[in-house]
Amino acid sequence: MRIEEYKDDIYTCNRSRCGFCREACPTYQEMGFESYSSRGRMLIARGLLEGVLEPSKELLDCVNLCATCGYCQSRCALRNVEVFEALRADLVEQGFKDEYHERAVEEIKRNGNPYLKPRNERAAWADGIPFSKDADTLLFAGCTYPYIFPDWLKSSAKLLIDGGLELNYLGNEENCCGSLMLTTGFLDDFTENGEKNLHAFREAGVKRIITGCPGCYKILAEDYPKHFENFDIEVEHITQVVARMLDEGKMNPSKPVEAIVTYHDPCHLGRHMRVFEEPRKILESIPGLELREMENNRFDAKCCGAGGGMMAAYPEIAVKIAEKRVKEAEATGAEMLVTICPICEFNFERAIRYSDSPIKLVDLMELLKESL
Amino acid sequence: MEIQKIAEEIANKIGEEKVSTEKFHRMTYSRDWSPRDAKETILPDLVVVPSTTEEVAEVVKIAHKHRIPVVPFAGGTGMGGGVSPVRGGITIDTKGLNKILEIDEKNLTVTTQTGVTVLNLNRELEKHGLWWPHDPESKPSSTVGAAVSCDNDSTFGIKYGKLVDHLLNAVIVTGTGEIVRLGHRKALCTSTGYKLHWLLIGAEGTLGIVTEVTLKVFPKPETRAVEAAVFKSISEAIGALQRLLTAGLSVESAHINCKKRLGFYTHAYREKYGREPEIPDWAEALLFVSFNGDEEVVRFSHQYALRILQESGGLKVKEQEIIDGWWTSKHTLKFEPYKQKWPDSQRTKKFGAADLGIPIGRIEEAYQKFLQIAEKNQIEVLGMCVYNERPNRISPSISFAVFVDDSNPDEVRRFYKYVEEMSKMAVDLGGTMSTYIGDGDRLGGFNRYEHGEALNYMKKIKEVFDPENIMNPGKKFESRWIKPEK
Repeated sequence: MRIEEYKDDIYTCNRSRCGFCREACPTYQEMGFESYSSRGRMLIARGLLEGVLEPSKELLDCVNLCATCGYCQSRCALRNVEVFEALRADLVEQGFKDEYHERAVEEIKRNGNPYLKPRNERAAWADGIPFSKDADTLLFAGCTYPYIFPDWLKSSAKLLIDGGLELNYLGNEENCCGSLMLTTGFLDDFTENGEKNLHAFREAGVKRIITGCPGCYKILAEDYPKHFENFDIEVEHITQVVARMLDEGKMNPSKPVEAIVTYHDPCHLGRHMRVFEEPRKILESIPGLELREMENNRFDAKCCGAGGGMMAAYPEIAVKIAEKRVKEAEATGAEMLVTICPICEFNFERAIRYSDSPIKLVDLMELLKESL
Repeated sequence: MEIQKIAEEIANKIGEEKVSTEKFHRMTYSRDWSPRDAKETILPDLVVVPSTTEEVAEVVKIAHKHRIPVVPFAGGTGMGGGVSPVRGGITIDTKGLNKILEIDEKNLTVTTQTGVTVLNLNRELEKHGLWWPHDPESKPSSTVGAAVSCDNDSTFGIKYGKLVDHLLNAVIVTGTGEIVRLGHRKALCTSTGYKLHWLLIGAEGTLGIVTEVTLKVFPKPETRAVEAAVFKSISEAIGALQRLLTAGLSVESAHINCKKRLGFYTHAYREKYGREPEIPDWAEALLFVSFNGDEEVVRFSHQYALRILQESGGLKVKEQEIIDGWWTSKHTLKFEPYKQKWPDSQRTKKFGAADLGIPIGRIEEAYQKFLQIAEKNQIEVLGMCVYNERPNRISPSISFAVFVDDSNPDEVRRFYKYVEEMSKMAVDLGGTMSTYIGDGDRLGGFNRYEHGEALNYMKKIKEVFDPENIMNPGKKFESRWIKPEK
């Protein structure tokens, strides 16, 4: 079993039992049983290791009801999220698979994306963008932006190029980063998919990758080096690049945007990759804008509930979690909830609609573009 | 009756989403923080997460009808095995009772369901400029109900006391499923009847499940100063603390650490900052204190205290990082992300402790005996810390802490032998065998060594509340680990 590798973490949790991970865990808050918290899952992992527990569909649901937001891990000293990913991988290997996850994985294998969209439409957004095949910096668009938010991608790519960057783009040859595969336990598929990507990156002579999707960013920057030997490509999130351009005076937001906003740290960008300040720097560069922080921000930011395969498998629970975060955003008195993650935005959009919230959801880059 | 049928019966009363017999759910209620074999697995037969007093009563009525045990489970951070379902039965996760019912600013009280964590309660109180100064290190996880039922310690005990100083009123579900209100509502004291609500403090769920409480709260003081000094002996540090109190200072917290514990602070400092702290070799004790209140008063108290500490033989700790480290660990709990203290420091062995109350004048003697008893039982010493838990007096609740390798069942057994000998030592010195952990599944029966005939009266009291002995059986009067004196 893969969780064997994490035996020390599992037993350390078992002997610590501090439970500092529990109260703010978004799924624990929804479900109410200890088992849905990090320390609960650690005991489940121990039960499986020792043969006290047997895998089952019900156990799979309990293990899968985790957005891998990493709140628990930031309040701990163990590799909590990795343990849960290994736990999921063990269950998948033993034939316990969530049907929605499995379908999405099959789609990625077939069409390069989990959204049942044809591969040859992936690059439709890129018409007219002056990409350069010779550039060693690659724009990695991911799956969600091209198919769900193509306008965002188009204007963001232009922004980077206008800021002086030469960018390559793989077009229809680009493939899903495999985030869903890794986080939901389809490890063999993740490896196969990643190798394909790696080959494409090498063929294109890529030295640096820029992406706007926090999920892709985390997987490429943190997980690819762990899973693939000699992965030496520098990976940056678009907010890091833009913040640098602002510093260097290559971008000058001058049109005032008179609004009170609050910023939601996407878990994969913030807590996982610790990119907290660059998005705020971008907000602060916009004249007229007032940023009001939510009670829980940066390391403490509450998850939107969509990550780790939650949106695919448990959309009702994912949206309930998002509704709580929207309430927290409302409490700041902000008119706008700003973030920069297509998955968070997808889920927040539903939460705002379902809860009839007056707050307006705005993407960080869109806000910046308005001011340029 | 088959457990599945009982689960259905309960589900019909409180909703099926609040009840489970799934083994993996039950697994997560199998232990607390007490030392036990790393692989020990004692499971309840079913788990319920009720959210009202009435729902708890429905569950207990069904348990009473079928004569099956009811074990309350809250934060799960206890050190005494109090939540261990040693006889199976129903584990009630009280964290479903998570509503704060009333914050009464005028009368300085809060009425709350008991599954709210201490930290979450204080977050809400803070919005009203108030706080409940009960401050265990487990506060992000442990609940108000557990604070009542386990009578645990507080960082601020020397100013604000323990639960006996805070608990005004309580609602419990007894072992028959009756709902009973005990206490004196929002009045701060009473002379009528028996103070039955005080019986709940430290009862560990053996009399019933505490579902609601009214607590005394305080306006939140403006500011605080934290200080530390080292002394040539533990007695000297105790003397210095007594001087602070006699001088009329209002000390907010006061912890006295032995040389071994001092060693952990200096080690952490060395590791983190790469330099040697200026702590002299003669330092045998480390006293941490804090003062809170208005800025001017705190400033004066701090300066005056420094003078007294120095006059009493103390040397101020110069390294602010050591003082901050203590404060982080005891109060703010703002550990660096991904480097939280509890899991980080228990990667190979866990903490365990004998929690003794020792008369003030015999602490030095107890410390020497602690080292001998630990050595005799081949248990690695972590150190001694004297907490003070009653207002405005030296009121020792002492942690005699050790490391326990829980992968070694023999070491776990030796640990409980150590607890047994330490407990006897405390009673022999005129003290008590537990001050913050409780009896749990370790001292029951053996505690007759301390209580004598009084233990029989305690049993009779339990029978009044719980005639069928279904409420957390196997605790308080029986033990898995330490057997009664013949």
